[in-house]
Amino acid sequence: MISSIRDPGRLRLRTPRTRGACYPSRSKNLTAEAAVASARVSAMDLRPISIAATCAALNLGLGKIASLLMLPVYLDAIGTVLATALVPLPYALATGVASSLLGAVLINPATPFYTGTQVTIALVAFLGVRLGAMRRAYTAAIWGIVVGLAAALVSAPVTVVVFGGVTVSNATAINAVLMAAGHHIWQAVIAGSALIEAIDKPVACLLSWVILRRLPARLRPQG
Amino acid sequence: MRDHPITPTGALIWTIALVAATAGPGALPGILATVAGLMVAMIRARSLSPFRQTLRWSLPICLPLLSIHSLLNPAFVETARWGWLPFREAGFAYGSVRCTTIVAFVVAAVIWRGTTREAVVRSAIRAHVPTQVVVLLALTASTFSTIQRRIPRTLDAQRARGVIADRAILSRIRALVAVIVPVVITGLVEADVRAKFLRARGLGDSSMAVIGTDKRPLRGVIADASISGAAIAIGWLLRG
Repeated sequence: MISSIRDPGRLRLRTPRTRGACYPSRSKNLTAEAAVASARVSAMDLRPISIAATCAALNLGLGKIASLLMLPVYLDAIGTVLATALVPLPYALATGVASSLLGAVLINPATPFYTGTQVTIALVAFLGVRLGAMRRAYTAAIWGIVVGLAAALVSAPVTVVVFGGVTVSNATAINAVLMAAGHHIWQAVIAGSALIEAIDKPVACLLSWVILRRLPARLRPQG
Repeated sequence: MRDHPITPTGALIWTIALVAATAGPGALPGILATVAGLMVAMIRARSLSPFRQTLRWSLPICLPLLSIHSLLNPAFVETARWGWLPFREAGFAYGSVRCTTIVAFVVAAVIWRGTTREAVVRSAIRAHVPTQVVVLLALTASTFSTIQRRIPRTLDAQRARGVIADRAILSRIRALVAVIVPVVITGLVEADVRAKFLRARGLGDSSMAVIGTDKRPLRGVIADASISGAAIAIGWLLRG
């Protein structure tokens, strides 16, 4: 235990695998220095993990509001966009991946196939946050269109190859109309997804901008 | 009768079996493996809810998929016409194969719904999944339930305040902001507080285990492994 305590970076790797006990007693050799280092690990890790988990849950839950208000948006990426502004990039990526994986059990079994889309949204939104796109409403909306187009391009192959061109109801209707008009399935899916995402993602980015402005100061991102 | 008869290990093995059965071009093994998985899930749960959930999730994808490819997709040649409605046989076959795969994935998700959050967390810790990942997934699942409960309450509160006055589109967009902002901000503030609580309870402290990991009876593990192994074997035999 002492060897692991001397290297704070290895603390998490040396967690004892004690079975049958809720809180095993602390080691007698836990020094004050190690306690401080351990607390630092907690302080660094738990807050972003907790915020990332909430953002992932928001990705999964906010669609319900849009459906209750009968609005043609999905709001399945607000959490990811917010996470890029509130926590470091790896946690924002984890937000997207966690919401995709858990969405399969909680919302819709199709969501894990769109994990790449969530990762793309996180990367493009992170770039936007870094470039200052979230400072004004109009830049947030414009960056939302960029996020939407990137998301449409990444999700189109999954929609065609795995789901045969069928996706969420509104986009499926557009795809069907375009295919009935004689367009190839790829053209129909890319056009349909781009149209839907170009409405949904700017709304998500604008809402994120509103939320970031109204957050308590202690939670607001610096800079 | 057990309320949650499906263990995470069993669900994982079933998922692998279903994906393996539907990975090839043959649709029949996929269908059989899917049906077998669903039957076992239903028999072990002693209820029809896995069937109902499978239908609830599959139909909104499979019905449009079959319709689009057998009626609309111009990539397939029209083989018959019912009045003004064209029919494309190759499109129907393609749609059927896609539907089989989708139903298999849906069944895998339904089987996972038969497990409990606690069991999944225990299994993940036993399988040496990094604590951060386990905490992230467990917190996401619990926060999701909280948010789901909070949304109708916030909606009702804003309706009582007169924010959602009519069904006009502009009013609904205003309502969207009025409902989402409090839900999200409350959630984020709670996340901050929750992190402090977890830290106060010792999570992240390397000298403490996250939660207890009790042993599963060996009989249950063997039962899961044999049923799942038999399913995988049947799937692979039928592929040949």
